[in-house]
Amino acid sequence: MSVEPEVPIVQVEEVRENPVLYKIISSDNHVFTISEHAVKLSKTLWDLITNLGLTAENALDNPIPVENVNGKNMETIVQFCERHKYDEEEPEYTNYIREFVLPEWDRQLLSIDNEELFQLILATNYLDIQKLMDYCCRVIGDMAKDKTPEELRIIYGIPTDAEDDALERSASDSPGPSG
Amino acid sequence: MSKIYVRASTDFIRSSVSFDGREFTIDYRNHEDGCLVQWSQTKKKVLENSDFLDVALRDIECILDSKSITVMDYIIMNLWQQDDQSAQKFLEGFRKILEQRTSLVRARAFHMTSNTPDQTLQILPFMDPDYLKQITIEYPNNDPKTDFKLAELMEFKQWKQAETLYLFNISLNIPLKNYIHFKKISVDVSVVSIDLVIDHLQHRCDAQNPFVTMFGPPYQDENSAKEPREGWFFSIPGDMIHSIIFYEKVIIFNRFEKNRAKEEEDDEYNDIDTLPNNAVILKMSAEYPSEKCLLKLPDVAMNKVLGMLDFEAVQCLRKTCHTIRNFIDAVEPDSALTKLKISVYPNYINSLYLFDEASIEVKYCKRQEGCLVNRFGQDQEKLLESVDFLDVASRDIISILTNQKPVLKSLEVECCPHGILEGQPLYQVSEQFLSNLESYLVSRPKKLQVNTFTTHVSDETQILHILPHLEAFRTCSHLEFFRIEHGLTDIQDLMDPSYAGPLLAHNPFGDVIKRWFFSVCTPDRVLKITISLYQIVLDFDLLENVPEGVTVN
Repeated sequence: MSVEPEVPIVQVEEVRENPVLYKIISSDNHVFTISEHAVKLSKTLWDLITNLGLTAENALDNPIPVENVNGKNMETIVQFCERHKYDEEEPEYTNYIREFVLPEWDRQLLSIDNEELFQLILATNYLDIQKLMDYCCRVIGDMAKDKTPEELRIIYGIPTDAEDDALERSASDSPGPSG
Repeated sequence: MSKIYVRASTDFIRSSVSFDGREFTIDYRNHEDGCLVQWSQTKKKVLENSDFLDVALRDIECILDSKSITVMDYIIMNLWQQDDQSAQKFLEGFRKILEQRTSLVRARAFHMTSNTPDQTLQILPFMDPDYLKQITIEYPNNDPKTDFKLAELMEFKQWKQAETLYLFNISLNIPLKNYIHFKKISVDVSVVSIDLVIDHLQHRCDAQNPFVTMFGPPYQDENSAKEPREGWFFSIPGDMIHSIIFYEKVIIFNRFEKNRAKEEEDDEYNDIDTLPNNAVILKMSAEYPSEKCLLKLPDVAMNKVLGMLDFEAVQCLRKTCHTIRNFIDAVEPDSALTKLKISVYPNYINSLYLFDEASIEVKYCKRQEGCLVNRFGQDQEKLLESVDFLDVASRDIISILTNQKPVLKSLEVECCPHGILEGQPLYQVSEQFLSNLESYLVSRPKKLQVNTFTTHVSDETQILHILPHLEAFRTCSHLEFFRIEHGLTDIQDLMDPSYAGPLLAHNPFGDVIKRWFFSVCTPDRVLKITISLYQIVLDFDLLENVPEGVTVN
């Protein structure tokens, strides 16, 4: 029997019309509840739930540990999924730049500092949430508007060619797996 | 010079005393029968049933007592090889000795190295502040330690009265005012913030200039206009130097290669961008790159980000570093160009790129030294030395067309702005440019798709540089309008005489126009070719618009 960590449960907006809830434990042992419709937005989580055979009856007794995502990112992800769980399928964009508009609610949610945003993208990639990935990348892309290469380096933390070379050299110098 | 040096590891303690140029060293080791004491290569003794730590501490106590009246130069404690438990045990014993003393230890310099710099707090209060001039605290690891509880240390009289502070591998972010009483200081700072610079300016002309206290005396000289300046040079990754140069009212931040040779043409306003011979190179502790680096994103995210950037942003991003440049070149993000107009003149080529919400116009001018590139609406222009303007323009245009994915709404190539004939300079230039463009169009895996193609050429041979390499006209659903301006009146002779027609009509200016109709792959549409005095227009029309009685070829 699994022992549930003694940490506060972060309660998200309950879903009245859908009683099936799942529990997720972040890498820093925060517990989140998420509805079935919302969790389906994450291909990774939904595959896991399906493979584990979790059902409405046993879902809450079997929290899903997600070791690659911390509580802060998980909270944002759960909020996002709950918000968008009933969204209709996105239209096929032929031109992202022209057609794709980031909703204000999501812009607010993603108004976090760059480092957090980059971490959130890594978490989103791991959990395979297509829509959140699109939205995060939109925010990242918007930062580049009317910026010079030097400004982009600062915003995105990009090294110069010389620094890039030095990093590559140091990476190749460092001992790697043998054999 | 007199010095006490104590080095402690988990089962070994060395104490050294120096005075009058002589040094005495005693080693204390943990031994199975007690404590092994060794004071020379050959002289050693096992003290049975004795703990090596107790023996060592007792001896250190004696040494300190013997030096109670004199002022020592150095007390050096090196504890970094101890595990936490042994270090704590040693420090407790040492502290007990210090507490039992009737006077504080008199030393001019105190140096402590340990895995937990906070342990300094346990010993430093026992140094006599009236004598202590220099404090050195060292963290043995190369990654600067940031969680040192300096706030507590700053309350000590020893801190307030000392003149020199060295913090090695300890990175701090505390206001400069807490340092400026020191005459000399060496500390890692994780960020050289604007506040730091402002602080510096506030303390300029002050003996306690924080930049001086933090980074030592500046490099001082004059520029070629005899304006005095002072600066500091920091090494950054990639054999680069970051310089901060202060003039009376100006601060210049510069970054250049460490080995950059001085150039003759550097003028007085080109600030120091070579390393002066006698400059001291300092080290910045800021780690690079930070976690927020775009390079750390997975490819899937990078691809999406690129897809959301407009053409100009992609080009700027491409300039940042070669990893990103390689990535962009491999992905070939869509240029998303809607219209392209190229005008060729004898001495320059103008390219106008239109996007959904923006336009870019670039002019490539022929110069004796090379090619002068000028972007419309921006003051900057750049001289590319020893290159041909035709080659530069062709390369840029081709690189943009290469990444063009959707159908281009309009392609306009103007090679004959005022009418030219074979043999004139413009003819040569336009021929060369069209050949470059043709080579590219031929090499494309898929023909370029355009809705409207307009060209203005000197003769039909020039049309053939481009037209055959656009998607085939009669089967193409993309090309909708094609117009050729020409200076020759017999171009209609190119039409195959076996075609039926033409339909004769008049344009709004009263000129006679001849029109042929051709069937195309879309059943309800026809291709319409109209020849007037100065132009040929090819466009599509609906079959129902073909006048009655006219044959569709």
